[in-house]
Amino acid sequence: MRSTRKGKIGFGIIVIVTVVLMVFPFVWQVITSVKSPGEIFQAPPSILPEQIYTQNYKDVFTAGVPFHWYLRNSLIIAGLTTIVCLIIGSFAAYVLARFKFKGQALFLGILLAVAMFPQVAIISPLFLFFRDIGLLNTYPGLILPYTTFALPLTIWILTSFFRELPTDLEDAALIDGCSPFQSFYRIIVPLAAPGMVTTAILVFIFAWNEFLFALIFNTANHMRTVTVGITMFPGLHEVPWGTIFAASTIITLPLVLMVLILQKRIVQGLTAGSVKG
Amino acid sequence: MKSRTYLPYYFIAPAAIVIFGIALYPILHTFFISLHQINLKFPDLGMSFIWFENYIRLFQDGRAMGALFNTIFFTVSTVALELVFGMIIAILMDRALRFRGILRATVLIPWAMPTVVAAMLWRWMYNDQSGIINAILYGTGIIPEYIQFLAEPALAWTAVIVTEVWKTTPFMALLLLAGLQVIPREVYEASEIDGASKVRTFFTITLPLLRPVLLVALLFRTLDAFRVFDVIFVMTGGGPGNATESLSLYTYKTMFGALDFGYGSALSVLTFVCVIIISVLYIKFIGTRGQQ
Amino acid sequence: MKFSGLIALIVVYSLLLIGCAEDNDITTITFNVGRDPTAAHHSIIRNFEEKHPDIRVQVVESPQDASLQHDLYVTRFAGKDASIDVIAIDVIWTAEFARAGWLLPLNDLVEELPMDDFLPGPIEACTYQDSLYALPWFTDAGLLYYRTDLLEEYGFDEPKTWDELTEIVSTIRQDYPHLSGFLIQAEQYEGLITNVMEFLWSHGADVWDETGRWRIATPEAEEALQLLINFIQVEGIIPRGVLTYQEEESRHVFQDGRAIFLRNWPYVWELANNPATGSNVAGKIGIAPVPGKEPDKQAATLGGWNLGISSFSEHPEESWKLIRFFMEYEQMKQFSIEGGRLPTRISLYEDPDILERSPYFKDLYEVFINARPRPVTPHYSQISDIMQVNIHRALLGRLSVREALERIDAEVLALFGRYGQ
Repeated sequence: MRSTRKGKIGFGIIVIVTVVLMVFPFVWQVITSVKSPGEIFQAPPSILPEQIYTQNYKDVFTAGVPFHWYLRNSLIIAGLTTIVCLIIGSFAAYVLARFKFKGQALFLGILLAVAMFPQVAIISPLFLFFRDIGLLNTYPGLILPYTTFALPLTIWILTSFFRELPTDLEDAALIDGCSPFQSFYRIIVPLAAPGMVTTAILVFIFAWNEFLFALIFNTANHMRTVTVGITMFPGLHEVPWGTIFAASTIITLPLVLMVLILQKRIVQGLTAGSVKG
Repeated sequence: MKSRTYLPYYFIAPAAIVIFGIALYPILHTFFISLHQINLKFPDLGMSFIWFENYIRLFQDGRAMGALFNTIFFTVSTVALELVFGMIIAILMDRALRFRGILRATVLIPWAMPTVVAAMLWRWMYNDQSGIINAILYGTGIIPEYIQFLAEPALAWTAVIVTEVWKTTPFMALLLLAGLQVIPREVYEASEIDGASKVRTFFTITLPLLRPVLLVALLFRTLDAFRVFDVIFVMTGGGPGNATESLSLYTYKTMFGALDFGYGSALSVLTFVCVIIISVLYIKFIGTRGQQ
Repeated sequence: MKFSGLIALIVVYSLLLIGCAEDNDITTITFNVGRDPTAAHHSIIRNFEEKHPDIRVQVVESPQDASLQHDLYVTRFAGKDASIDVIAIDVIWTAEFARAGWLLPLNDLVEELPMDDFLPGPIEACTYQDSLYALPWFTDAGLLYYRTDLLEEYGFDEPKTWDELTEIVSTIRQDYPHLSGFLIQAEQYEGLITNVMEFLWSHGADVWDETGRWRIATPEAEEALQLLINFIQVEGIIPRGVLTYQEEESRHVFQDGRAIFLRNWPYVWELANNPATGSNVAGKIGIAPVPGKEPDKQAATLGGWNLGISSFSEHPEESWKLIRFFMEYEQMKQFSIEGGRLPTRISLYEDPDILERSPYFKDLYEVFINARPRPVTPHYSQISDIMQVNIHRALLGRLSVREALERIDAEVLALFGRYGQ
């Protein structure tokens, strides 16, 4: 590729502008979360806080809202959703990528239909169903619906990953007497591991950020998740913005850290998973 | 081998059981309810089967049609912008050498924030007095005086769309990056030897090769955008003057505000049917991997 | 296989749930309420449990946001959920929940309480078709906040009429053009209606005619709404930004010292007078009734929350005991002092301890006793929605006032036509 000095500088500027635009609102949230209540609502706003006001962060854990419980619940629910989704989804994606079978198109269609349906409409019947089988205020009571509604995306993405994997290795394994399940488990899964990481992050973020099901199904305080937990801070009229932004930073940071740690794998995952054989 | 014929079914069985077990009944139930007049507020009126009356009412309801139009407008503009910005960012991530690490990490941040909080954050950044956006635009001389972004239909739309595009572009960028990295470098080199410009290479070589991943990304982004709720609910509540009410928001107000479950279900089915039409169009025009 | 593991998990959890059987002698009831940072109800509930050793109260808190609570309760009631016993409901839901058959009528029970001692507005909001379906827990009423320092500087008294308010704002803003005149809450949301009702009532307008039939398009209502629009669009008395404001946005502008007047609920008083909340106007604010067209037409919209018993409750007797306990003089007094809430019993407005904590209760007693509920009808949430859409359009200048009011009438009557008034 030809690359002039001018081109490089121009390219660098575009990159910097992109980064700033994408990250600015988050940075602004962090800045706001360390401002005092009076300073938050100054007009015009101060760019940097006059002093670092840490009370907002203390309030998240000490204002009578058991936020550490919410964090724990969200971790468990999002984590288990991710695992279940990946296991179930990768089975399905494998056969969708490798086999032709009756009902394949129908299955893909139903998957999309589930992903498409407005959740406002299904919350009521689902609530009754879960109450009758005793799943309200339990972890499975959220893991099951999250898995259901994350599966379509999981399967569609994993299918496209698996399809890009070379078939030679599996064929060899089959000849060696491996069962299809073994060849899937021993060959496809390790090869597609990076792709699974990407999907895992997608599913984890979906489950971590879901609100409506969490609000309606898990009403006991010890079973509440973080997104609903944030709405526990406002009083009858007063909204403690500093505390809310601090809480939001606290619940976004694990995701950002996870993405930072895994980012190599994500991009590699997408690449490696799709190298044509 | 006989066992192989059944093998695919064993493999999809867990996914099928979860999806049928959890989602199918509520979805079918919604179709069923949409053919009835049922309002939770009036239990004595019962639940009467009225065929397609809710659907007829829907097409005579100016507000529903307005919400449908708003939703289509929102979906087309956000998905188009996300596609453009997602593509630019994906190309940057694909080409960048020195900034690659920081670029990838920062680009994902918006997407990791909970939607409700992101919408609250933006609502507050648009504030007419202490909002940072007004401060920056005024400070740099772009606007002569502070603007009430969310009090003006056109500006409120812009504000909502900017928020949504900011929030979800990373999803698009990540998937497109995957697609870009599949394309072997030799293809570009061959094209350059032929003397094709970079723009031409992009449209004749890159874009066609991106088709499969483009389909997945567009499909799932469109499905999501068409059901937009949180961003609008938090930022404008459907205002100003109901200018930004989406189909999902109207459905929500009908079901949980008015408790009119019959009509609300019909609105949900309308959303569903629209999304199906869009999906079929996508699959037809962009092509599908499922049929390869 | 993983899936069988999942099923096992489900089974285990179901068993755990069944395992939580109750002690035979003790009845557990649930108290469903939005989370209150002051936590004032907790100590009252502890006292109740001490007094009634056979009843245990489980407090089930949800987010305070009214629309979230509404979604939650509607879903549970629609499923005839027996896990709700006592429930705190917004004044505007009471008729709706009563019509839906979700609340027990309390007529026979309330004889145990001195009903004459309750404020009339809150009781009206609890009454549907001549039956009481809840009792008022605490109340709220729209108030006018003003800057005493600015008004004194120019020698003004607190305004009693809209004309006086206009004059004060115009005079002060000649010297302080950057100050906002009057802040209200006029986003397209429920708060818009609480503000609009005050404008309507203060012009002698109402949404019901003398025969009790719906009719909002009257000359008085037109005048009221036109005044509001002139304030925003012509005279700049109200800044255009209020079209995006809810309670908190307006409070922050006011307590940062950027406005002369603010219409808001009583909660602002303590926050704006407390420098620790970042207030720049502590000690420099006064409260008054919201102005009227004439001094005798001043009106306030009623807010507040009621306590009711779910129809699906398996323990209505114990639930009633809890509600009655909250309604007793001593408990309501404690709740008012610890939580800063406005009591619903008239005699408490003369209680020395309460007046010591909240001296302004005495001066504003007239406002609280005359506060009026928004239309008490099971259709309220839909009516509010119809009004929000059309009035917000009128505020934007997209509809004339008359058109907006006539559309509201047409849409509300169509609604009544569908389901009955």
